[in-house]
Amino acid sequence: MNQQKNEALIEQQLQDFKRIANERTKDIIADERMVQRVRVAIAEQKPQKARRGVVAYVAAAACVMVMLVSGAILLTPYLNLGQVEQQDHAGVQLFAEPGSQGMATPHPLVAEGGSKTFDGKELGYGIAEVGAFSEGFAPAKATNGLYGYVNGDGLWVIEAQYEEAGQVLNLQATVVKNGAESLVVFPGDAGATIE
Amino acid sequence: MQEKIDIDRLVRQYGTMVTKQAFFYLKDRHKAEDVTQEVFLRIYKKQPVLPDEQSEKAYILRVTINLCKDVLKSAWNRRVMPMIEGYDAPSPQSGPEQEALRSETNELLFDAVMQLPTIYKDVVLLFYYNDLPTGEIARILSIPEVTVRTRLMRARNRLAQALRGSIVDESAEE
Repeated sequence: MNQQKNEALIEQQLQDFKRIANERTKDIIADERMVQRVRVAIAEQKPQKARRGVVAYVAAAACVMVMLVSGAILLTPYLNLGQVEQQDHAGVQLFAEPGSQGMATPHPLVAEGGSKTFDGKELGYGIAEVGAFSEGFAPAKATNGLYGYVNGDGLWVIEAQYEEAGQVLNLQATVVKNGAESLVVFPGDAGATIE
Repeated sequence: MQEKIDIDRLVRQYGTMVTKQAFFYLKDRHKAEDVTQEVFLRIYKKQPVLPDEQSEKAYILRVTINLCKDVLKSAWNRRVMPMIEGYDAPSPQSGPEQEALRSETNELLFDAVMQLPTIYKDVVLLFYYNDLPTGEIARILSIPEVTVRTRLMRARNRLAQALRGSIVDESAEE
């Protein structure tokens, strides 16, 4: 395929980009919560930082638990079988599909303060906060204040060593260490357990 | 005296557009939501005169893009990263899996656009995602219209290079 033809095909593909992008971001919706958040920001004349410590955690066997930034475990009687959207800012809100309910069970690793091992060695920290999961991994803040990544089993897959850790996209994520930005690449098997 | 902007209406009408646009730049939903909040806070403080929907959309997109760039520059202390040049396109495929390949191509195209350098991502998103004409894009980005067209062409070239071998040639199927 020559370059000219390739470019024409790209143009053809780009005509469909809006649909593709909307499909990839279909869960991003600014709803009434955003209206409220903006109202508060206007009333206080400054942006309101979201409370990111409140997370829904999808553990093994499709059980759901919620962990607060304080490390406290808050269980919910509602179970969403794999469709948990995650946290909210003003409290715990799970966005379960109607009719899917069940018992929630704490993941033992997180219930005890999070995974404290990596690749078999003892770490001096646990999980303090977990961000949004994407492609099987989530950025997590450790109790030492640095960021790494955990998998769906609540285990560290990348040690907490960064000042910032972005969301995983295409099995890659942008991180900042000692002020320098770099890219980390994740193992292909999102379900892999490293212990 | 001019009435105050109905910020609730703006958030309801443009909030999702702003959050998605911010996500395309920041690749982080939480940061995108923070930017969304700040976009509307700034608009409320500034109280710009926006006579119609087209002006509203253009103004809001401009504020959004500028805020995203601020975030990328300040918070992440941005340095030059290997972007599209380092993109590892898969090997060419053939055979009966054309539909699967087309779907995969869509994914690759989205990821490739996300990895474009900002100056090219700006124009691709505004042109192909927000359906804005090049003249309007020029006003939003404060650059000449001819520059918009040049950047669009270069963006397509970069995408073509990045996706070399993985594009489904529909005409070849017939």
